[in-house]
Amino acid sequence: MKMRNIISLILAGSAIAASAVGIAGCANRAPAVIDTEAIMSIDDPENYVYPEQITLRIPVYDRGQTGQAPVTDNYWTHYVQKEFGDKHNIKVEYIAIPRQGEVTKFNQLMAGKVSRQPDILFHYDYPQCITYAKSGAFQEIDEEMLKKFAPDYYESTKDLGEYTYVNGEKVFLPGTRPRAYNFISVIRKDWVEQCGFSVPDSSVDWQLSQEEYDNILKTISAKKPGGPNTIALGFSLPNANFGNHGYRNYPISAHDWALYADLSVCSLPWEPTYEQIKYNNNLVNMGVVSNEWYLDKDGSTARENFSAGIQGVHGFYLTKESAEISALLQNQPNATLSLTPTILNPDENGNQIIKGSRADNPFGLMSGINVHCTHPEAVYMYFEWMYDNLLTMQNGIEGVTYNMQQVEGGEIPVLIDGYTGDERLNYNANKDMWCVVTEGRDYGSDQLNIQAQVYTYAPAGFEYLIEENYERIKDNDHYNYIDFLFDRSIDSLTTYGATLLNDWQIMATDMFNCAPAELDAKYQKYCQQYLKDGYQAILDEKEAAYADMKANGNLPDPLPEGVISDEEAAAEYGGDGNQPCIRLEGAGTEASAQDAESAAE
Amino acid sequence: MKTQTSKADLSAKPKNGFGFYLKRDWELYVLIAIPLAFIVIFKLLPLLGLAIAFMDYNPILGFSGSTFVGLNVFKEMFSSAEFYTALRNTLVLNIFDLICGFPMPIILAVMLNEITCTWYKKLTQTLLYLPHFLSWVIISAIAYQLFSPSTGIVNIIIGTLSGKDGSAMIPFLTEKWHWAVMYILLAVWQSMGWGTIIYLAAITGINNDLYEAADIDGAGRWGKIWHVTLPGIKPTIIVMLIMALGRLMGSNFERVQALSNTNVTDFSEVIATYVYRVGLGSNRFNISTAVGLFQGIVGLILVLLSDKASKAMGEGGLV
Repeated sequence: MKMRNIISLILAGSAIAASAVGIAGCANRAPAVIDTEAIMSIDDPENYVYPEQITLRIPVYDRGQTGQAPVTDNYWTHYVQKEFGDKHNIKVEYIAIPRQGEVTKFNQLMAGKVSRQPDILFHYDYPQCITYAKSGAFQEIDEEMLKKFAPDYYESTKDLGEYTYVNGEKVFLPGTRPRAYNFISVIRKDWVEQCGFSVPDSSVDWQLSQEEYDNILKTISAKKPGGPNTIALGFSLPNANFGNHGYRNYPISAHDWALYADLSVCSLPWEPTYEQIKYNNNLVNMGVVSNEWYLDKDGSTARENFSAGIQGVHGFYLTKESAEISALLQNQPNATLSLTPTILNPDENGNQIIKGSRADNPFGLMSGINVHCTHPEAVYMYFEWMYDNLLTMQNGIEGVTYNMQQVEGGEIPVLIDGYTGDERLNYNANKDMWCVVTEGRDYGSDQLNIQAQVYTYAPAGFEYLIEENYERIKDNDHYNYIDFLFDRSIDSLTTYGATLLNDWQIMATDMFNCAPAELDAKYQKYCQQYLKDGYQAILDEKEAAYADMKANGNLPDPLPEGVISDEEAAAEYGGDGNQPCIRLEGAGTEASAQDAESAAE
Repeated sequence: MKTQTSKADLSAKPKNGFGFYLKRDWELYVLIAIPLAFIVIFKLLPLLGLAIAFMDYNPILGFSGSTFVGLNVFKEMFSSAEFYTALRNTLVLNIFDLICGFPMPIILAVMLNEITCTWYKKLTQTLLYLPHFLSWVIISAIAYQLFSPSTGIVNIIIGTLSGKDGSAMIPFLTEKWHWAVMYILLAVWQSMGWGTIIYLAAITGINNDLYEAADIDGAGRWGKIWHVTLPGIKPTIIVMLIMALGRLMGSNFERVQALSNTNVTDFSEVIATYVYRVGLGSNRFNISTAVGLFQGIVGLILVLLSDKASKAMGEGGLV
């Protein structure tokens, strides 16, 4: 009995001690007080030396790539310390952020001790950035200070100014995003030819109707040029980002653009999504995709199948060390590739119907300065240094990791293949270090940029994939429009996003797999459930935010090409100018009422 | 048993305080301090985080910055249909797990005990223990390879034997009812060998005289198993059963996450995956904490009830 008492005493004591520690840990979380005057009185930021060393804590993505130096301690982090940190008496500390589960990691860091928090937080997903901002993670950016401490960086991003405000406060430091041409969709040219179809030398000229293309896929599935397990088309479980541009009005009404165009959640009840589902159902029923496509949750099976030489069509980001291509050539040395054909879409008179597509956001990574950071000027100095030293950070040391090469129109750096010495760049050419200021390489002209991309992204012998992709995209690029970006956070997206993604994946599995005759009934049923599970609440919140932005003249002006005002859309398409979307019957559902309540709080 | 020994100690040295024992047996106290510290740091201190369930918790603002919302989170939890689906699946899958999985190690242990050839017994035991060391990620990858409807070896064999390849495919893991059966069977396969260890140890503790007496009374193999072995390990079985009942509300996240797919989510969504999806997926830490707390409390109640029941039936308990 005595022993028991003693043990319980120890346990109780430690619990009390722990709660005391916990409470102590919670103290002192007030936002940092920034002495703007003192900071602005620094004369020559470029050569400023802190009288007392400060620590700058910068997060860096850890993608878990094997064979790489630790992301927080390698030649290039030391280089930053030597060239930037030592000069200003700043200790630059990197904090590894797992690329998967980054929000959790940032939340953990922010819940911990202030002195261990990163000085900036970032994310590629704009709504998530707004969520950080709204939960109070960021401090306001003093534009004058930014201009003074990071003039070149400021100049490079000043076109992105409109995206840096949340509820009227400037909080984001954007990275630029030069256009990249390395996302490609390829088809096994050798298979298509074996099946008796002809493929032109350059895929730029390869244009087929939907039926012709489907016929190629069906023939590949039937003739099985890759052996008994041949799959014509790589197909995996869809995520929230479910493209339906091919079935949207072009141009689209601003209302539809705002409500349904984003990537955060699938717009299931909207008509273009229905049309896309119908097409995907057709693909499954034609038997051109794997029977177990839905078991491929992250596209890895499709990638393996393509690499193994049993899959005809595959979409992926081409990189210089592309594992897909090297494995494919190892398995089937005679494999040849072409970009997939352009699908023609003529109207009754034979004219092409233009369909816009999704343009990348004009910005790359979005960073914000931690609300507890006491030295925002050091963050600006870091961004400025990174921007000014992009040539080195992206390419390394001349003559060791890269050489300058004369190309049409000028000179570009070209990385030396397979360098393994100390100075070798981290994964993807140090991208995760310089991504705070830009997403790619920009040498000032399209001509130089595309040549740089060919050298950067194409494995030897496959340069034509990038070149042809560029040729095909460049004339049509202006038809593509970006996602609508709200100037405030849509809270219901955070609340219901994961539930709706889960719903959508289950529903998509059932709807793509079912017989075409059953599709409509299933679709109607699932739409109701989807709306009830939170999509109605999201639509209500977005609708209100959109109306508010419209009433206050806060919509983008001018609207991007491919988007027209609601009034113009009504004149063009009749009715209200929008494409139909199923809603729950009766206004003010339970979910949206809850939302309105929490919004009122 | 426990109370008897402590009584004996007390009567032997009634007047000595804690300091005496600490001085005399300090090595033992140092040894016990390690697991005790483990329990305190990793099991008890995190309990403070349960406060999250009563807050509108925002990690950036921390505990002090988040607002207290009372039982609102629990209200939301109990009004969510998803929660009830997860609860139903957790209970149903665990009950079947218990029905199928619990007796297997006992049967197996008794069977192993009857093997007299030593090297064969050791070999069998080793082979039976092996699956325990495989993680669920690996087991599920192997299972999907073996049982895939179109390319899995099992279906290919069934197709060839039945002479109608293609149409005879059995969707072992891609149809919810089949999946539920496979989910249970795979766990039985994985854990039954390892589970025998504790029963084999208990069987070793049975007095050999009892078997000899049974022999003299003319008992056969079945008779000895029924009248000596099983009664001999009954207390162990009861303790194991109580602990298993305590796990009825729990769920193995790794097992469900690795084995599930979107065609079977109707059955495969359990509390663990729900907590993960809502808590980490939507960053709604308060909901997942509330669900976790609910799960823990129900588990505790189940353990206490079964403990009481076992005592009422005249058997020993845990507490």
